[in-house]
Amino acid sequence: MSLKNICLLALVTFIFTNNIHAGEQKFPVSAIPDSLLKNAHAVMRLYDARYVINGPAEYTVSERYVVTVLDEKGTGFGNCTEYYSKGNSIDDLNGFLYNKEGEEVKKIKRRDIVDVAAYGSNFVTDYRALLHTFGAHQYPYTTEYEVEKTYYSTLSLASWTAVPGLHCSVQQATVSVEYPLDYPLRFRSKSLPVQPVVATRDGQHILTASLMGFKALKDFDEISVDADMHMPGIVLACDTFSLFGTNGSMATWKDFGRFFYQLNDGRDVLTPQMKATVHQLTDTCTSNQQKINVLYQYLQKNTRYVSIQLGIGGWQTFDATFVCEKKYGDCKALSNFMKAMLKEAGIVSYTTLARVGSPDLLPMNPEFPYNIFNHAILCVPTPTDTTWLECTSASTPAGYLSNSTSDRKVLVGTPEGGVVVSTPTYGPETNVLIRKAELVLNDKNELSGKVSLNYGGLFWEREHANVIDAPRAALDKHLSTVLGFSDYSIAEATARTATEGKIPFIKETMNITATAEANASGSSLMLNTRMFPLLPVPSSRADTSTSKFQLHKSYCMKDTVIITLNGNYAPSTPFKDVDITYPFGSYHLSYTINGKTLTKTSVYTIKAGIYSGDQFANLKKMRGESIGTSRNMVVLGKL
Amino acid sequence: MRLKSLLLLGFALLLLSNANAQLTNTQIKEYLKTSSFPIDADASAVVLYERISIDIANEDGRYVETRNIHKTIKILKRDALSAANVKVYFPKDDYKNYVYKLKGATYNLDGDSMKETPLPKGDYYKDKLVNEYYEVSFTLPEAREGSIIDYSYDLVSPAYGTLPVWDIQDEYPKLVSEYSLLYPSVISFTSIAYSQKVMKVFPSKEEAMSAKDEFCKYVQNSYAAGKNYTFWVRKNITPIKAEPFVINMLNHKERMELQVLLYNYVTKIPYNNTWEKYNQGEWDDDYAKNARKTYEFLKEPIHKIVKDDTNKLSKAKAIFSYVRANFKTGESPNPGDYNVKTIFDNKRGSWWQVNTVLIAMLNNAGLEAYPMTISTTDGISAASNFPVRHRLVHMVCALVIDDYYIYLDAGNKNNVFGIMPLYCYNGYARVISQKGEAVMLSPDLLEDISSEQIKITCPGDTVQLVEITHRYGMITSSIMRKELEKEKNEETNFIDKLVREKSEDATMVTHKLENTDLPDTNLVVKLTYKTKINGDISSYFMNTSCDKIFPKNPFLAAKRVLPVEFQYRSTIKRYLNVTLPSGCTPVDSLPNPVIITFGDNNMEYRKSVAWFPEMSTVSVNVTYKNNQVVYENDKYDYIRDFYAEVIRDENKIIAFKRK
Repeated sequence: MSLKNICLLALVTFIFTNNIHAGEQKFPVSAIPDSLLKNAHAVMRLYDARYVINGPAEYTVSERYVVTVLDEKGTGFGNCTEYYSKGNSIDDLNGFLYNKEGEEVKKIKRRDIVDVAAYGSNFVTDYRALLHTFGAHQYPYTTEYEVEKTYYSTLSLASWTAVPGLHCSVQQATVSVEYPLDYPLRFRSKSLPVQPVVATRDGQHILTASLMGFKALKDFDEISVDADMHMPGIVLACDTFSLFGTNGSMATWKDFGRFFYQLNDGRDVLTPQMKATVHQLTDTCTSNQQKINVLYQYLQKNTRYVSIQLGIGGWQTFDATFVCEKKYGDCKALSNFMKAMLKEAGIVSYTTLARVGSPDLLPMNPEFPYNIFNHAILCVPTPTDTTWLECTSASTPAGYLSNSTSDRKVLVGTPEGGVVVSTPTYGPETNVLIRKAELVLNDKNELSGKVSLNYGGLFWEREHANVIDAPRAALDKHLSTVLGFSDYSIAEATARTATEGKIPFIKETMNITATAEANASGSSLMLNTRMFPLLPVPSSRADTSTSKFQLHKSYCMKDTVIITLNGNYAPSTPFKDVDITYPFGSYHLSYTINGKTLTKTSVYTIKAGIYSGDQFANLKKMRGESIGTSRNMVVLGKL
Repeated sequence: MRLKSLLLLGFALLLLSNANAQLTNTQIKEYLKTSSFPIDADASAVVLYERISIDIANEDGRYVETRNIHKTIKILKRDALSAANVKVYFPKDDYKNYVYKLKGATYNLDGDSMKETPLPKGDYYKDKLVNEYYEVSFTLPEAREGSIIDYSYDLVSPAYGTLPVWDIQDEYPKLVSEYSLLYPSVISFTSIAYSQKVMKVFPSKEEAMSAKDEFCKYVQNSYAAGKNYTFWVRKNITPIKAEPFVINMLNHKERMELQVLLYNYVTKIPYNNTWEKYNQGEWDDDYAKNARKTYEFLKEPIHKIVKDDTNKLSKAKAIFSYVRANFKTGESPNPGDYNVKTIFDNKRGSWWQVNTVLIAMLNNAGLEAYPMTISTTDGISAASNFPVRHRLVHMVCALVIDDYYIYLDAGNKNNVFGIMPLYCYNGYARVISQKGEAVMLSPDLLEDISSEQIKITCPGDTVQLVEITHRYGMITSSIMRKELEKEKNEETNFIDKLVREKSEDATMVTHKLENTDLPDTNLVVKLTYKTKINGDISSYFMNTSCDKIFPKNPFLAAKRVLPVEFQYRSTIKRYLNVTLPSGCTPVDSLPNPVIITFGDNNMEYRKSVAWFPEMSTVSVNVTYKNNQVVYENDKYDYIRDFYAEVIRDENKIIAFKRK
């Protein structure tokens, strides 16, 4: 073969292997199978991702994604949003717009790419994003983007999610990951019908995976099972990585924990003044638990959460001296500062990595270490127990973890390495709402008296922001909504925090005057005894007769209503007590009447767990029993 | 500039900088010991001192504005700690735009002494937000409950025609707020203050600052070197707090606005300082000019739409329906381009562009239509004596038929002919015509009339069947249709939500929505659901308002500061027929008719109950009316009591016994 032909062949090969788009490959809308249009606002026609890992310090990702936007609600899928920061760069970005016949109508212009700061919940960050939209409006249309990115750290290998979101089908999604033969790459796939394959070619491993003909998912709802909410894809991780020039191992959780520990080691030195303060606070304490409580209260009163994430600061904490002087920091810095104070007081503790919120792909897996973390808390082990400290919260008591960090696996960073442990799971005895009303019914069908509400655990979390430190007017306004009456006025309302063991409570009391739903006529009295609202039944769009559902949190609501009537009464018809129990919970209701005093007690319990679909009807039925007028309306005859 | 003038200017500036209410260390220490302030005992923070000083100077032939901001804030509760995180935004321009002379400190009590923690020099972050918008961020160290934070900076930018608004009232109370303006005497400006306090002018700045009066002013013309100086101070400012039933909180915030009236530098043209000049400017603008041109290309489409109809109103409705249905508003493919043919061909544009096409089509159909520029409830209303152009952010169509205006907004397919979206009714607006005309867009132009028929039967001993036909008023129909759009067209979810509002333990049997795609008609919802019977084999009790108009009293607060505002006048009619289980008779006599009124019958509730024993049927008719959209706050107690009385009546139960 002549040199000229060789060059020609090489050029043609190059062109085809690099998938030049325009004119070579069309994406007419008519080529989308009907099955992919159902429930879809967009269809991913092609998603091709190519990872090339050169070593622990760098890898590149080339992506090409072609999306047909079917209607206005799918517009977001057809836009481009690419994030970058100090840890990665976007080297090239191209885009094309096609009409429904698949003909190119527009090409991206540099000036139309918008570069924005991507703060999220951070006060300061170096995260930014490149945004682009073609602004097309004649549906359907197709967009194509090609992006080249370089990552300077393999700590968070960008995992591959084949499906961009709900209401988007996928016609074809493929990924290839090229890495050196001696490179310790690991992977786990999630919900891929065909398992990924690893081959060897030209002195490299090549991992390939694909997803074809994936039908659009509808919205998840409150009772969707967690595991079903993860999108198909592959999680990538490597045993060795580099982070801004610092090398580490993620071969085991132990290794990774050790890396995190060493990265932050030595940054827990307090200023001399701070050391003196620690001793001033703790030298007279009689137990370690008391020291922990005192120092934690000091942290909560004197520091505040400010998130500054720049470069390696996303992983490496500010020095404890920084927090000493400025009295603010992010979750790592505040946890580190607390750890430093405890250390000065002679107590060992460990900064612990956690994931807040659901992960996109896999939950933390003891068998598969990978970087899933976005938060830090503090673990203080004691001989008999562990005290967990949420150092970013000014109100959470020592030892309690809120909904965002409880009931999950976390990684404790010790000098010997990381240890996977589980944070506490709270049951209905912790997530408890205790409500009591002691009221008097007068001749005008008004009820007046005292109401007390005790919110524990999960209920504390929800109620806290509404009442603690709230202005008087806001507190009164909120308390005017917590009871089940159409209209009532409140007086002498109070709200305070309390702790029982490690469980936080909010205790509210108030005197009320309310309009009763009642009718007193001659010898009979009808009265609606439902004073307290219930949480709504989670809604579901699924065909729950065949699928499973999940109740995510356990809780218990205990209500007592004591009404002093304006005469002696007895039930005209027997009270309709309820006593039902299902695998997911129970409801007990009973009435007693003794002369003038009518007492109603009820206990409504939900147990977290995954249940078969046929139980959902029972869940609705149980709630129906608790709110139904027939259960709450009593008819009494005067004696 | 001569040396003498320079010295004079420097001395004057020195005087100015010293003669202010900035706190002394002694005062700061006293405030550190203070844990509550009479101005608002509930406040999370109190602004102890605030200053906005504006200095407009001529530099190299252009006017540059230097704005000095100084704030001193006492943090009383943790939720106000966010005040210690400060972001300053500024646009980059071709002249210098930046934040200069940033200083800050936090003060805390350390035993009996005061500890100052300064913001370290350079301890700030600069970032580019998007395009040419930048921000500088800094956070004050050692801020906690009880701290006092203090910061100041200069913000430099080119001078614009509109000076920064003085937000006198904010979420925190303020003890002292100052605003001053030092400007070349060739500039004149006007100001308008929205305040309950009367402004009093004093002969010196010191007197203004020390006076007991709470809104004071001092003016010194020919201050120095061709500059004038004006100073305002406002004292003891209560915070603005959100209250329900307020259409636009911004309109109630105390503030002062300033606008340059004219500047007479060399041969510069005066600003648009009257509404007449504003109208002239808009009349000559592209969109208004294009909206009144004749277009050959529109002849055929218009003829297809209106055919041979000669009735003005029906022609207008047909054209409006066409534009509403066929044009999409949103991001424009040609921003700022008011070429009617381009927009017509694209069938898409901004709200301004789409309504320009509507006006052009109406005019080309032989009708009389003009653009009308309006403010929306996202922003402050325009004022009749103060033409702030940027406040009129939206444009709709003012159609004239028989000397009456009909207002049209074709920007959403669910908008109604003659009724604009509620956010358009934000007060002063301008019809852009040859002479121009002012219009007041008030919610009392709107009325919503809805009715509901409820039929309840008891096919068994334990279950009752509820059949509801709800005919929404035109305004609520439009709102409901837009809600339905948001539910991603999943009608079932929408209905499910409606049923849950009516009865939490209901089981749906059938449902139907009518007129969902006919925006100029009433939306009708038909529901049939089952629910448990209220009673048992021997007794039946019914609430005479099984579907309550007011499930909860919307007026819960003991006191009210702002007026009570409704978005429209409304009438709700409800007709309930309950067919009881056989053999039922009322235990007692039925309730008498009820009439509850307030305010010269502007608010009215009427109910009547009738029993038809031969059909074993109870009939309940309810009417609620509200004919007024704004009630001053001194009427608040009466309004609250009105609703309480209605709810008391709605809670009544009638008992029936079975034989």
